[in-house]
Amino acid sequence: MQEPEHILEILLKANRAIKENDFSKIKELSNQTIHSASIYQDPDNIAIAVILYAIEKLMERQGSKAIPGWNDFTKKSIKCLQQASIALKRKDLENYREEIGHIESNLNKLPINLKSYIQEIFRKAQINKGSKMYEHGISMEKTAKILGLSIWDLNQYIGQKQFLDLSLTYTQDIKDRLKTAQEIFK
Amino acid sequence: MKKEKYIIFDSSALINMISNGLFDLILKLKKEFAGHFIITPGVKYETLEHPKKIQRFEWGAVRIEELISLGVLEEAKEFFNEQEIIRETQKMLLKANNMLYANTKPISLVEEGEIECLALSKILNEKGIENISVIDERTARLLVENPENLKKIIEQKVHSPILIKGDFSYFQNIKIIRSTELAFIAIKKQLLEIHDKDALEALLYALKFGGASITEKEIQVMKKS
Repeated sequence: MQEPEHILEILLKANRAIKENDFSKIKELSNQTIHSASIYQDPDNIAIAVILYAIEKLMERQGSKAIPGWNDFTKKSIKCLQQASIALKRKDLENYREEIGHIESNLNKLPINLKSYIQEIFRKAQINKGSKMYEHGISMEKTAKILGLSIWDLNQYIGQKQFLDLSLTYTQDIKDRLKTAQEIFK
Repeated sequence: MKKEKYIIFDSSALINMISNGLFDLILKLKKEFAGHFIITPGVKYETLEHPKKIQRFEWGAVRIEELISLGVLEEAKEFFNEQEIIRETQKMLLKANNMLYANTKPISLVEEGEIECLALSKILNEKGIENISVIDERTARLLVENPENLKKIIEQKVHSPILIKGDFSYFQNIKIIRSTELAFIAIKKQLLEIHDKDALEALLYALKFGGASITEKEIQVMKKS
């Protein structure tokens, strides 16, 4: 695990934000793990980034969803996060990963209709984190592989995001590039 | 004797074109091109074999498969020594993924499929065979054309210095275009049966929002060209 102290700090803050229903804080914390996730491509950092983003989305929607099992899943996930932070504080990585893994196994125990709905939230969370990693300079295929996605998942989502500094992606005079393209078709 | 020439497609460009409904445009471009449209094994996996198993993307994969069975897209192994491509890909991967460092750790930037296109292009360049790669995603293109900018992008994001180690010149001289330049050629050659004056701009934006790394300024210049 890379930067365990950072993950612990994120988890403690996330637990507090969850108790206070502070959705934007949870989202912000999810983004904070992306720097490490991009540089070290460490699965623990990536898992936390995805889970926090998904939990934020689940909490945001739970009020409007009267689906049996929804609240139960969200509560169990939050409990797992709390247990994970306790384990990490004790430097017990095995238990930490077990608790994080429970979130996924709880997902598999859900009724099929709810399972696919929540799986979709997790998939969207992965795509969102993937786009952040791509913003950090990691290639599309690499990002897809790290997050277990397909490039088909990422392509359009990334295209629709506006990156802060597009000037850095401008690497060749467009007229020269057009000329190169036209020449090969001659 | 006709000169050999090759256009090598990366997954990002093919997926973007297919997702934007440009199957026919690829067919027409191929008819106009006196050479081969090539895909490498990694690109075939990413655009066809893997998505074929995912319902959400199966239709896209089916269209890629059709392009292959029509002979529009041809597999690299039909023309070139696979072992040579594998060797060059491994060499380039090692270099690319050990060039930028955060603290003392190398940043793993790219994957096999992306590098295979560059590796094939480099092999063809060394043999003096005319070729070009079509790559929509940003990182592989920056690696070739301006690695310093890639370093700056990462630095801006992680707010700490990134070191360049190794030799980027190994990636130089690889010619890259994007799906947007292919769309430009198609419009200029009147390959599309849409004659609206805004067709070019609309198509370029569709490809930009489909994942092509292109700036607004570039689109405006293309519109006027």
